[in-house]
Amino acid sequence: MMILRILEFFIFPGALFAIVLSVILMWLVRKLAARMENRVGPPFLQPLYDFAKLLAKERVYPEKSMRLVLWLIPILQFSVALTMSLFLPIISPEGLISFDGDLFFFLFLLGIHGSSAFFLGWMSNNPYGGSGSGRAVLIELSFEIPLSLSLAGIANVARSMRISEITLYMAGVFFTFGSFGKILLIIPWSLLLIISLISTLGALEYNPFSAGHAETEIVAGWMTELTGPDLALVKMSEFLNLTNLSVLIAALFLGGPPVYEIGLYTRFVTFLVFLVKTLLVVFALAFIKTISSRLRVDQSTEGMWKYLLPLALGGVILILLIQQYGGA
Amino acid sequence: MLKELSAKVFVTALTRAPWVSHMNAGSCNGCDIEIVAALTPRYDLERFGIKLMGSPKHADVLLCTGSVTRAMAPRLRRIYSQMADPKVVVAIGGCAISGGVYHKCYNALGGIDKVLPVDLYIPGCPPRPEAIAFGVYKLLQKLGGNDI
Amino acid sequence: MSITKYLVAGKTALVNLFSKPNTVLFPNEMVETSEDYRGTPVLVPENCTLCKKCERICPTLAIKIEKLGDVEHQFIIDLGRCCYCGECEAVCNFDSIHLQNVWMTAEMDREKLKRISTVYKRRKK
Repeated sequence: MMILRILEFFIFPGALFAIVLSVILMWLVRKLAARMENRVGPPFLQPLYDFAKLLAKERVYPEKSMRLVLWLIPILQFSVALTMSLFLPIISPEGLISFDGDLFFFLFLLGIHGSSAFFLGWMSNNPYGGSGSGRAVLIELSFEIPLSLSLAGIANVARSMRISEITLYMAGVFFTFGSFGKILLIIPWSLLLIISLISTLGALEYNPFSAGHAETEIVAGWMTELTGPDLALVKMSEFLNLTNLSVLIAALFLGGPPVYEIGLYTRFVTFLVFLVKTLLVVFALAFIKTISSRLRVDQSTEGMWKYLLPLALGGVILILLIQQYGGA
Repeated sequence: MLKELSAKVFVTALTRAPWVSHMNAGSCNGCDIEIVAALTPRYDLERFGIKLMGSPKHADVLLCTGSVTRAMAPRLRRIYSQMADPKVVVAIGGCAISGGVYHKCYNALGGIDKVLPVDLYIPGCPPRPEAIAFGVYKLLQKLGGNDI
Repeated sequence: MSITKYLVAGKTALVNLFSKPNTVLFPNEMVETSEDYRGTPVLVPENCTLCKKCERICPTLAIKIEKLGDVEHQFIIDLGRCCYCGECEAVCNFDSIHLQNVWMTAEMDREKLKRISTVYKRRKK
């Protein structure tokens, strides 16, 4: 029993599966972006080749940089991203780790991941790294609050702070259009879904909010001085974060893996439904990434604080009002 | 045994994911535009896993254009020394190979191979995007071990 | 930054997603070049009279004619130096040098870029 539990943690649906899934999802994002740009795109499992190649390359450290930080923070980012992947509901609504309030622990880990980029750029003794890390942390500060608010709104709908309970509630809500109030909830639900998708793009530093590593102006931003295995770990934590956030949104907004009992194939069908929902979210992310161009850092922070934050607040208040007076 | 296997895996990965970085060592911009044209949807070098990186520290292949001017030579050497091993240098265009139309200039060294060890020469003034794509294809075949 | 621009971009992206990509699959397909495309210069040794007009007019010293023996000459076209201007083709009176539709000339070795052909000097009538 113990061995089975360990296997669950390390192979399926734990660490190894998360890595494989994130490589496939990253390939899908690149392929979809390429096809939307009217070209063929990378071959299958391209991110895996990138990763394998980077692992075997030489390390080059710049002069007067803090080597310890440059060596430690990629490992920290990778392990944080891997820890986040253990919370994900993949074959059942309950993740491998699940406790009350794990939604906010998840967001806390996301914050660690984002702010560690700042130290990485700052300690690399490179002007591009410095300005890139400043931009990255500014965008991090601005997307985190709308994302937390929109997830808090959904937590309010389910009246729980636990990912598994919210997932169970959202999986059930599609079949129980009981009252008028529940139908009304679609309005704040869709609003919060769009807000969380946009702020996910900020968390992943994808295209409208990619000022942190804008390759045409500040070389590679906060990862300019990374080489070889360090860069490989940072890239892999980026891939893992894509999986983490898209699976989380698929779980909290779309219901994630459901719990229908249909005999022999229950586990398989559950997994399949989970995959379809995740792919929908990934498609939406790739679509927004492709059609938008990079915003300046002041534009993206302004957009987040001026428009996204009030909208997210409005969504949460709307949910509370509907719950109070609409009888949801 | 394990070492051979890992080396084989690495070579396969390198040939399938060569990231390139672009260095202009005194070019007239013609070759630079053709490099960018090779990355457009029409020719799409991402099919071979090729990505244009901003930082030469992330890249495996340094695409050099231009007859090397005297001011640019030490910078070219410095950029090359900052790249992580294993690394490859490609000279693109007549100027990068021999100085081309600038062969008599007092300030041009005339050719990347006066400064760096060059692995691939792509002639042309400027070379077609397909010529660049063919050169890169040939280089990848060579790195993978099958000569064409 | 208006919302209509994003809508237009989104529509284009969706149309592209469900249509055939515009890419030429390179090693298997080729892009057709125009008829007067100036590619690799190729010598026709039978026509050459060794008048050295092309050697004199070449702006990048890409053409070199070296005497080997009494009648045997070496005609070297260095593709690494050539700037594909077509002056040699224009100046030749005997139609012996042509810029052909060939561009797959990348080489690992600098020496391989030199196209060497042997020309024999013809006797005066």
